[in-house]
Amino acid sequence: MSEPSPPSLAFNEEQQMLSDSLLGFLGSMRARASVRAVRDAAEPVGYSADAWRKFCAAGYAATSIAEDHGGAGLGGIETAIVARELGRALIAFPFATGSVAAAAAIEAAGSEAQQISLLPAIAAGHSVATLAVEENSKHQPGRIDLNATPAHDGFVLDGTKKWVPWGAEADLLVVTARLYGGVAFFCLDKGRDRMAIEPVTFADATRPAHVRLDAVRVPLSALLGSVADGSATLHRSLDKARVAIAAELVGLAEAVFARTLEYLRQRRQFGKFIGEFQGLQHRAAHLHVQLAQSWAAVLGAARTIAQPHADARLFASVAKARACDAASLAIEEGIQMHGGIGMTDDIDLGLYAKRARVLQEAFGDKHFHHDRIASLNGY
Amino acid sequence: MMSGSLDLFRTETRNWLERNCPPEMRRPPLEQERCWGGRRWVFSSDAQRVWLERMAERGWTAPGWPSEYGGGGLDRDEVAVLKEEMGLLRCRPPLESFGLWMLGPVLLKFGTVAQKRQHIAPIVRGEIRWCQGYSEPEAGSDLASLRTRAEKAGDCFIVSGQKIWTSHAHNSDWIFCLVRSDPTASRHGGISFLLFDMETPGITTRPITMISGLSNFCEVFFDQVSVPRDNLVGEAGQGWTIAKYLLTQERGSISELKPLNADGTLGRLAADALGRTPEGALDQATLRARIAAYEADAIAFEWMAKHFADLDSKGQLLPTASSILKYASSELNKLRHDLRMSSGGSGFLEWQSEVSREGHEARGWLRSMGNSIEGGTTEIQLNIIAKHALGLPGA
Repeated sequence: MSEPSPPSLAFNEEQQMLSDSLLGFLGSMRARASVRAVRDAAEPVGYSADAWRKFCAAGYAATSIAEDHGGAGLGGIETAIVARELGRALIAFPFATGSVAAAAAIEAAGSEAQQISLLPAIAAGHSVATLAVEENSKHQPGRIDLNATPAHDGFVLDGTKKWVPWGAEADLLVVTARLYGGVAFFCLDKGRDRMAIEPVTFADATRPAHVRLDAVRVPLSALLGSVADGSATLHRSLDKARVAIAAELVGLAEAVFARTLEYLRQRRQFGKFIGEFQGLQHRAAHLHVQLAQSWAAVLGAARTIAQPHADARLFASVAKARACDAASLAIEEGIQMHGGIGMTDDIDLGLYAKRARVLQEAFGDKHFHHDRIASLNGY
Repeated sequence: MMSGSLDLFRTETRNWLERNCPPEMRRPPLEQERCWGGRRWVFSSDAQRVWLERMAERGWTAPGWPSEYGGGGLDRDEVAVLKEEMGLLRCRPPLESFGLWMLGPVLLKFGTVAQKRQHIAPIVRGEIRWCQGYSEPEAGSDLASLRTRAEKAGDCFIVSGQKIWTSHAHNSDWIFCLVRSDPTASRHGGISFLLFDMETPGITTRPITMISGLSNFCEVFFDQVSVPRDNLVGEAGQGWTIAKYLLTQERGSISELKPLNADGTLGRLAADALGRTPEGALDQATLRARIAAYEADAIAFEWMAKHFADLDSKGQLLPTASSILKYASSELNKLRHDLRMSSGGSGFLEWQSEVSREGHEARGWLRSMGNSIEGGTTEIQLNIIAKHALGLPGA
């Protein structure tokens, strides 16, 4: 018998419906949930909690989580579709850097009992979860100073995680810590575990937080799984997050490109539509190709990330690196082609730029991933 | 085809290939080992001859073409299975041919029964080698401005003019040629598609030496060449329509040809020359980063090609896909060669030596610069994308 061919990268009917329905659903909540709305809101909350609740009620937060654990049990491509539409709608939710990343860590590191206890609430959106790995300004997942020392009936955690995504609002924080010289995952609960939260506001109006753990006692159950060598687990969970973030970046870039094309078709100077000038046509065509290539890289990574595929890590880094490049190009060309008004706060381009920058830094920028591609490919 | 019988076909195909593909034919050919066929072809080995004969006998040089004209008569799924099985055994294509890639599809779509009967089987068997008479010194990207004249004279056309960039014309038996058959008609409307024998009196061929040192491109001069009327493909004045159809076929095959080696090949090559850090990284951070960026783009391109193939299976692929693939792959291939030259250093600069395999790398780098020019320049592809994919005004 021939081997089954891998699932098509072209959307099946369900995936197309998911994509179409999200476009409408998120479009209808832009007014109150977009980066602009959040930025200009009376309360600095980092995202629209009300819109997030509706998003979760519709089941979207559960996309990447297994059915056994209260999730929708959909695959990598569906997760990428959800993230892409969030990017397109310029709505920042604790999805890619929140529920997908944290859930991936819990699934990769946690025992079955822990998964059953933690994941359903994340899938339903009752818990806002996040993955806290950074201790420095640049993503260096291997540099962990947060220490876990075994103690009576648990562990003592001491150290700081910085710029934890959704840190101000999350109630569950999955943190990486040094334990027995290896990497361990702990799932902390704001309701149970003492921690000092210092929120900051990012350029895209989201609110990460510095989280200080000052000799905090946590129970044994806070340790995900039982073994403290989570390096492979770390990258597996980070890779799922990276692919979802890459999808969000591509959706964002596609939205910027669509607005730019519209502007090229409307704006007149020198007696012509500016879209008639060949210089701009060629740059737009080039950008179209970059976006097609980047989305395909996300699809490929999304498909392989679920399987124990030898190149899953490589493809995740390719997807993130390419998505970063595509977003940078779309934004720079978008602002440039809009001319002066591209530089004003009146239109959304600047907000897309700020959101993209935050996503580009999350879990490794393109330089990090180029470096990783080289390492994975043996040079 | 039902999956059960497709599996049977796969098994039979695999067995047949095992028994009939000579071992020497089970690796990709070097440039000089490619089999082009034709009246004057001298096989480089028995294995090359045998492989072509066996595949041609089944029509498997053109597996999807109708068997009534000599093709393999396979359906789309079976063609895919044959390609996969050949890939698994690393069987090289038994025949490289513009007849296969370009003219055959045109004849199947636009040709008369008599033309199909005359030309298809010899293409399949590699007995006739074809070249493409399109570009002229004054008609490159603006192909429609071509001037080679074909004047009606009784039951013949009399062809006079000149073509350029005609690949392998000096080794070809027949030519398919775009000619201006009606100078009074519109630019596009006065063009016809003619076939004729390169042995016809009045034809002179002159190879052009390229910067790579190779001379596969030729100028071809026509001085009152007499061509039978029956050699007109389609209607008089339909040449431009036929040419456009053929160009999309050509674009597809160009994109298929080049492996992008995004698997550390370049990095390891550079490490041979530059050494490695104690951590095992290429000991030049800037070149390392540049190679990694290339690999990210190359792998993304491969995903895009797969995505397009999957969309095509569902009938969802837009026609501009061939322009996108051609543009992206040609720019990537140029970058790959540039990085290979950087990675190889001085050894690759030797033009004629064993060390450099007779300048293989440098010649390859130089030749690659033509990728963004031939088969529709990068600028033309971007125009096409701007107009047809993006709907930009006045494009």
